[in-house]
Amino acid sequence: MKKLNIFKKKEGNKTSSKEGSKNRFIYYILLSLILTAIYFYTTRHVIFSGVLLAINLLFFFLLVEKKYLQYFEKNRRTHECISFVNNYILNLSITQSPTSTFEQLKDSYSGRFKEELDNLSGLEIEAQLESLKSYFNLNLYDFFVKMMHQYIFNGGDILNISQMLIFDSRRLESTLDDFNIVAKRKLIEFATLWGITIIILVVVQLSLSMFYDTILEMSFYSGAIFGFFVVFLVFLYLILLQRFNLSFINENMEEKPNEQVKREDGKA
Amino acid sequence: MNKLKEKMAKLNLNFQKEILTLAIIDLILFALGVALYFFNVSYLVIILLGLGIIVFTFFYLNRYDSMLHKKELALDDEFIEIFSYLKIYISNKESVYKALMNIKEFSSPAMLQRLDDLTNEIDNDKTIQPFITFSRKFKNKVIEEVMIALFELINNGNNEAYLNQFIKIFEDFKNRREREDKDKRFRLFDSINMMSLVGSGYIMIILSFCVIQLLGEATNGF
Repeated sequence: MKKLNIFKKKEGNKTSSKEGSKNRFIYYILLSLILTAIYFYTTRHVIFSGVLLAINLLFFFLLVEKKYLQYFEKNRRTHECISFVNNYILNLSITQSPTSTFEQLKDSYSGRFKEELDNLSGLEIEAQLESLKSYFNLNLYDFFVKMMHQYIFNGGDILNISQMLIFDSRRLESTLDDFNIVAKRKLIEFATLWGITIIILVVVQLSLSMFYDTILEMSFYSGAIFGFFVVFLVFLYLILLQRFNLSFINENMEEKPNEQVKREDGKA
Repeated sequence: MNKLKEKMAKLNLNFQKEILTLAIIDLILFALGVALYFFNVSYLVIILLGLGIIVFTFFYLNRYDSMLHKKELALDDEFIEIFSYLKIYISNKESVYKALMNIKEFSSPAMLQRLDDLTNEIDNDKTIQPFITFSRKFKNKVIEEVMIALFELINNGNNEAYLNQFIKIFEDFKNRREREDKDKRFRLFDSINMMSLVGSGYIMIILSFCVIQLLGEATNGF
């Protein structure tokens, strides 16, 4: 059967966070060094500078990296899930064969998702779709699988049955994309505002150059400026928590730990 | 104390464990205060530490309200998510009752319990009451409207007009809720960005303090 050309091939460079980790690590080190250099320039305090460098590196490599990876995975899998579900339904409406649709879709993806799809070769179509549940870990996909079971048993017009699912998944995708665009913009705003604050610190320092040595002798000064950089890291962490927060995408309930629920009416 | 126990139970938290954690943290802070006293640290620091213990205990014991509020909001969001699936089921000519049974699969334990109660009540009571009881368990009052529309749909044998009415009410609710969530998320970004002013203010205070001290030294020689 001629392969349908209705899918965009996913770019390999978007499939793994590991590939971008090298660049990210360079950014982490550069940012840590720049912040420490500014601190050292304003206070000339070697010990505090060393401590600040260590705090910066720990902050970026432990806290930020962990949050980024969680965000990256969820973002990638959600996009893959929406793309897979929509492409599968569209292709199925043409081929009318769940198995050949799955086989054709395999070639439309690359990276980890392609590997995941390849690993499912040889299984029944229902088992293949079922196996991807744990990969996507999204309610949307679980619902799609349930719908596919019904379609396989009862038949019908797949486009008609899943019209609303396609609409909802596209809506989720656009919410996710909107969030990513605005969150990026807000992060740039944050960097600009704090950048200006740090520039003010340096410029005032330069304009007070006549008294600079006397200021450096004040015991509280290096500690107070150190405190400023710590406060900056706290707010940077808060904004990154928001930037990487995709809690509006509902994950599969089965993956959550068993929750004991106390009845609201108090009955046993 | 009973109210506190109730709140913890609703959050599936263990009362003894929670109180023990609080007591351990308070004890550590108290021991730190005693150590500072023996190291002849300023009384002001010890008093501040004491105040810190009181403030911490207050916030620790009062955080359950906000946790409950968050849980309620999460259930409202989950309602939107699983009722989106219900909407798809009934659009595909499933009966409302069967659709309610089907969406249980996608529910969290807390939502599952509410749905179980709803379907059990529907079995015994064919009036609107089970739907109203179900909707009143949620924080958002619009859910009541959605449930009334759902009952109307059952009452009129999945009539197309009632189906469209249900979809419209539900979609309006979903859109409004999404808009609110989006606004809330972006307001949070703005609040954090505003905090850069705290940084600027902090820098200004430090530098002003340095300059005043310098001027004091220059004019009075101290």
